[in-house]
Amino acid sequence: MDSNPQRQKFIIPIGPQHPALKEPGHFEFTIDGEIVTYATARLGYVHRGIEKGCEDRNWIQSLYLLERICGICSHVHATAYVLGVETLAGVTVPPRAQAIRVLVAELERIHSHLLWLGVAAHEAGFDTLFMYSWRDRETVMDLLESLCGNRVNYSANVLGGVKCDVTQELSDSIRKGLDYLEERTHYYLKVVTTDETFLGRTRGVGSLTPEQVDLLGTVGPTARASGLLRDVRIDSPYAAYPEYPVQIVIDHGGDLLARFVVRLKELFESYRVIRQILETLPAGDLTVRVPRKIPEGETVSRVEAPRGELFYYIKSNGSDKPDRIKVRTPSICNWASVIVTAIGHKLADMPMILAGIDPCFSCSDRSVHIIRNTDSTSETWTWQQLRQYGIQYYQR
Amino acid sequence: MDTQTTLQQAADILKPWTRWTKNPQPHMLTVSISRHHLLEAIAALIAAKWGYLSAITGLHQTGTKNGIVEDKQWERTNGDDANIHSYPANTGDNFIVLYQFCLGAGVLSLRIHPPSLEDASVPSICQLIPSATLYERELQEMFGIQVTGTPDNSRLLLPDDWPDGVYPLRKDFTGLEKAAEA
Repeated sequence: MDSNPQRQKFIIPIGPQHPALKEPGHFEFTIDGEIVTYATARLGYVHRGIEKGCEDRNWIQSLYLLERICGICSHVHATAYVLGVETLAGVTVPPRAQAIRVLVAELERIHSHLLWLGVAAHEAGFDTLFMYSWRDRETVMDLLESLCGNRVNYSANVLGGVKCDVTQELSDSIRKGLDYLEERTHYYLKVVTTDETFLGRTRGVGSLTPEQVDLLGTVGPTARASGLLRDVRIDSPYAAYPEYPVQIVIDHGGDLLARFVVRLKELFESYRVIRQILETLPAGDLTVRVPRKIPEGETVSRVEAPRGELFYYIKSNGSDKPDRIKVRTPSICNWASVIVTAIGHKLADMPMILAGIDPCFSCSDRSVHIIRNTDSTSETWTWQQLRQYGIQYYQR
Repeated sequence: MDTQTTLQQAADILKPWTRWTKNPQPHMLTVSISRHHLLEAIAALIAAKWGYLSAITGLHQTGTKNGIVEDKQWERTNGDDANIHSYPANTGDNFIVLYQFCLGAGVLSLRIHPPSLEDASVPSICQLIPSATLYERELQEMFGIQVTGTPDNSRLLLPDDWPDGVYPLRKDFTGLEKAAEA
């Protein structure tokens, strides 16, 4: 490590916490003065070997294990998995179940985007916005709880369908909640696009060109904020998205501001789709029988998680256990883009650039290490200190 | 553009290096190529703007299913192209590396089958797709598949005190205690 010529500069390790994935992130930023010249990542601090674990569990047990990869977007993990397994098994899931899957997925997107809005605002030092958005997020958390019984890890999916149904009463309360959230989202969109102090932290920061986004394989709102038409719900409609198509939301700004705008505008799309589902929910069964042993074969199942494309490769050897399950979460693509685009930006912008891809930093209050190799001194920063540094830098 | 057209385009682009192809699912195309042609094939995909790299999946499998028979068949009819080593006579362990590209609903897998577990290296594609570094590091430490020329060889996912030479996603790995005994 010490032979690395990059060590002649300041090296700022950040992390390691990133609980949304199976891989929390630890980053090292090499800085020259104030400017980042090199970045690298070390993941795996909560790597739990879930891919390996699935090989030793049957198809049903694996569902519940995979759902626990992420506490925020658990439903999309389960959805990607069940869609893939159902493809291999050759079963057709009832339309009502597919519609409920989309309904829960969009409610989950609302909860995830509002959570992100709060976190990102907090990183910028805008705690009022953080508190407002998290207060409003409780609305959708309550709706998810009344629908599935859980605030997180909803377990709405089973192999061959869903286990929760939407009653008329529930449908009314969801509509009421959406009306409130829609009004609030209009307000948030106004705040992030007009508040000059906040714009100072987002406008022109962390820009990605469409070419960069394409080459880096960036996904989700981060890609769409650079004007790239990339949304699995549209490119490869799954579950009930063919019946309830979403309109793609893009922005050509490419900077952090554009990422705020895209995510907030996506919420309006989610509200619209959920209302449409509630109005035209097909009647019928919730589940279909899936065999215990899944026929031999391999498939790739892709879904649009709140953070972007979630990729599952599922291989069966014909037994009651998966032969191989490969999970590629959207954040890992977006981390790669951070590593590349951090170069040339100010250290003070790092918290916002990292938060801008929505890596959910709920446990990020951990050590940040500053190594100063030129005169052999070193100091350790917490994430809190780095965040303060960023805020104070922009107060000057 | 429908998925079949998209996948046909990919098949046409990759024709010069293709050994054999199959469609595991209607939306998927697997193209078997030699690891020595991997960079050329990916460069051609990039030049044609066909999709984006979505994942690199490693597989460790035993038996002759999932393309091993096709590989041997190809080898018998086409001989050694300085890439094909003699596969183990038995149908034992094999590594497969899938480079999965997505365009629309189509999924293209470039399938590399390294000759043996001992000679299991694949070239790094980071010069073409810089963000592949994370996938390559994962492949190296989970399977022990050497990625030649990858810019960063440091640990990505496994703990710092994880023993060298123990690769958790290999089928023979059943726990650290057992690995220590062996």
